[in-house]
Amino acid sequence: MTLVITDLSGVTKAELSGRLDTANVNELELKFSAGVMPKSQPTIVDLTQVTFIASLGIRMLLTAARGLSRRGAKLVMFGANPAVIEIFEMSALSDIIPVVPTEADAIAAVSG
Amino acid sequence: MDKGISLELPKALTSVEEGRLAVLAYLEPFGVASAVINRLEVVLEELVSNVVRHAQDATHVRLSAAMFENGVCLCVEDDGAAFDPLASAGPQPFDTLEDAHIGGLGIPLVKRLSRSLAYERAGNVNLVRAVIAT
Repeated sequence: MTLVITDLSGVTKAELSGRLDTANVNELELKFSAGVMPKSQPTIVDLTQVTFIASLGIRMLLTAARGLSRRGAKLVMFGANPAVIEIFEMSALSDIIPVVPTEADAIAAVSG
Repeated sequence: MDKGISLELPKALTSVEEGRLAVLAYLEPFGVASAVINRLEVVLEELVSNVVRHAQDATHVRLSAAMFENGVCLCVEDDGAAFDPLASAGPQPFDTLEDAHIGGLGIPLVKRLSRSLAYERAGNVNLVRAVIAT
């Protein structure tokens, strides 16, 4: 499981890869939150390389999206594979955090 | 029905991955669709990590899996104090980020992913049995 955070002129991009399972999220959660929250700017989360997600991973994304929303910034996810999307839909996460196909879609969505 | 596999694992978070790999190896010859495998992995992840994180007094967790004609049965047992994880009402539906409940997302997810799901206190063990449709 890796996390790469970059700044795309005013948009934070968080690139996750691997399995967002309980053990990995336990290790990654603080780093993820420390990487995206202090910037308080529109954030896109790249899930292209994420192969699995369970409830703790959903909680991590939800917590970040809520924190950013309180500071007036949007969080949008993109590139999720069908397995990950199914879990988002079943947990109703996709109703409250936008999941779009591509990075360009995500940038358009957070900037709007 | 295939006789399946059963393994006893320590009450540790590493048991989730160990159990997952064992179940995957067992299911490999059956050619189960990847979407079904993913649902099964989520159910396994939630049920086993729930025991590891919350089961009071438990010393181990037993994971069993067996292939049916039209489903995979996954059974998670622990020897902790009697506790029915399925009894909690779970988070209410949410429409906005502010309404969303941050915790307790796992069991509702397991309920939606399983075709059938049951808890039983059998002797001194808690037993949760989930069937994932193939």
